[in-house]
Amino acid sequence: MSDVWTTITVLAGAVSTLAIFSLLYRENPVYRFFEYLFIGLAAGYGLVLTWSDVLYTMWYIPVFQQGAWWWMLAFAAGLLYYTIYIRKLAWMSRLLIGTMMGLSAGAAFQQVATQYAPQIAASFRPLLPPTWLGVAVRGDSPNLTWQQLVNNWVVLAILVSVMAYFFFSFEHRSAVMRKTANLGRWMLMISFGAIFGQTVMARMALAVSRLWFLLVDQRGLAGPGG
Amino acid sequence: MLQDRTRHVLYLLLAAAIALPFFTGTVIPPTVGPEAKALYKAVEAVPNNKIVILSLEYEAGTLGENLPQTRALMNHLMKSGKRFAIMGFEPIGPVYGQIEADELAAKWHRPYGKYWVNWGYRTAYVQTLKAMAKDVAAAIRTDHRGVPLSKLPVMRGIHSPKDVGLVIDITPSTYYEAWMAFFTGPAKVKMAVAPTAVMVSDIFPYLDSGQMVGMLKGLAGAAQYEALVFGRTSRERGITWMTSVSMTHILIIALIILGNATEIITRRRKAVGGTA
Repeated sequence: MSDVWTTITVLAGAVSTLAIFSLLYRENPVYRFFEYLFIGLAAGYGLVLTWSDVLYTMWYIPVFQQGAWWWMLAFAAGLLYYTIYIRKLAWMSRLLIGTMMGLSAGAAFQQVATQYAPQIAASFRPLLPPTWLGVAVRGDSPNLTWQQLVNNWVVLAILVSVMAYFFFSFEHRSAVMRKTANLGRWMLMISFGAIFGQTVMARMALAVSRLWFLLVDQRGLAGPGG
Repeated sequence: MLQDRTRHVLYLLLAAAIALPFFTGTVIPPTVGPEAKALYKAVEAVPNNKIVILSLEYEAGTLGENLPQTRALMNHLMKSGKRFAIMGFEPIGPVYGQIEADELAAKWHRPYGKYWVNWGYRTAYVQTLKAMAKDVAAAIRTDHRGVPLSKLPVMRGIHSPKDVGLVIDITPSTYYEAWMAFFTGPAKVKMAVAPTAVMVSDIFPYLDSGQMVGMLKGLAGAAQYEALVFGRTSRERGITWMTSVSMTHILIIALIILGNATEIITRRRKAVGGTA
């Protein structure tokens, strides 16, 4: 029975893959159908896993098998969301939405502090060599190599120029400001170019994974399931 | 019509370029970058009394990159006998993780519950991570099938964040920021990330600041990691797939040169015809 089921699922996977690839030939109803099927499946999967991995293990078992009745209060609070559909009781949903927004705002403040503060500190880098013509210049960074030194200057130049590009508090009239911002724009473009190149690579990787499933994978068409 | 045919021929050429390494067994040995090396060392340095968390946040759309990354890391963890847990804040990630881990567990003889555990899909990532930062076992409580963690040998001695040796977020999204903000940052736990290639540029600052100890850069990162685990010429999934991607790059570059050469020749012919 399990072999039959495996065969059916593998064939369904192969047919779905080929149906999506059919867009490469031209737009067609088969492609559309499988596109909607994919979206529906993903939503359905999410719903089932929310029950099996979260609600069942963390709510149903404690409430109905371990007697932790107080978790029913969470269920009641959750139901408040649905009062949004009843005009007279809609204010109750706002209690919950407001609370959740307040919690999210607090978490966002914490996130900014813990996520970005170390980066601000890390952007202050040594810009002078440890020694210059035999004279000690920076005793606090004796192991700094010249490659790191060049790198630090490059980081500083890009950081300042890109910040200048996004600095809108006054008009960029002076030549220094204009040229610095222009350099920042070039740096951004180079960065976006690199990201685009990486995106192409990512799309190729996806194509590789589907062809692997169709041609080689022992859990795919080439395996016992196919 | 002719343009359509050209497009279809190009797609077929692309498919052939991808499939070629599958059947010839040819691999292009990857050059291992410092980010992959750093992650490898970080995994090696995790002591046996600590657990590694693999947070799998991907869905079908990025399997081409995130699945080989997962596989490469699981291979290393199982080969070296490290304990690890898989979980995710997207529904399907832990399901894919379970499928890969089941296959590799049979290969390395690392049974479920003793060497690895699936904590499953978790919602409300901020609240979950904040709770984990206080007490990991109390926040998770059961595995994905509802078995209490206290009954699984893999969880023996794992309670507080101090018992977590490393968090690796395998992701096409920004969940790694939440991990940093609410778990690894406050609890001082080491963290690494295995993002899709398009995200790589965003993550370098975190490596520079020391907030992350390593990174696997998309599929290329997976191939590099496999090179560290199995050797550069091994025919593991990531290295084979990256060879296919490299073949597509060669094809695209060749087609760009061909297209430009054809255009130049056509223009010259037209110019010569015009003057005659």
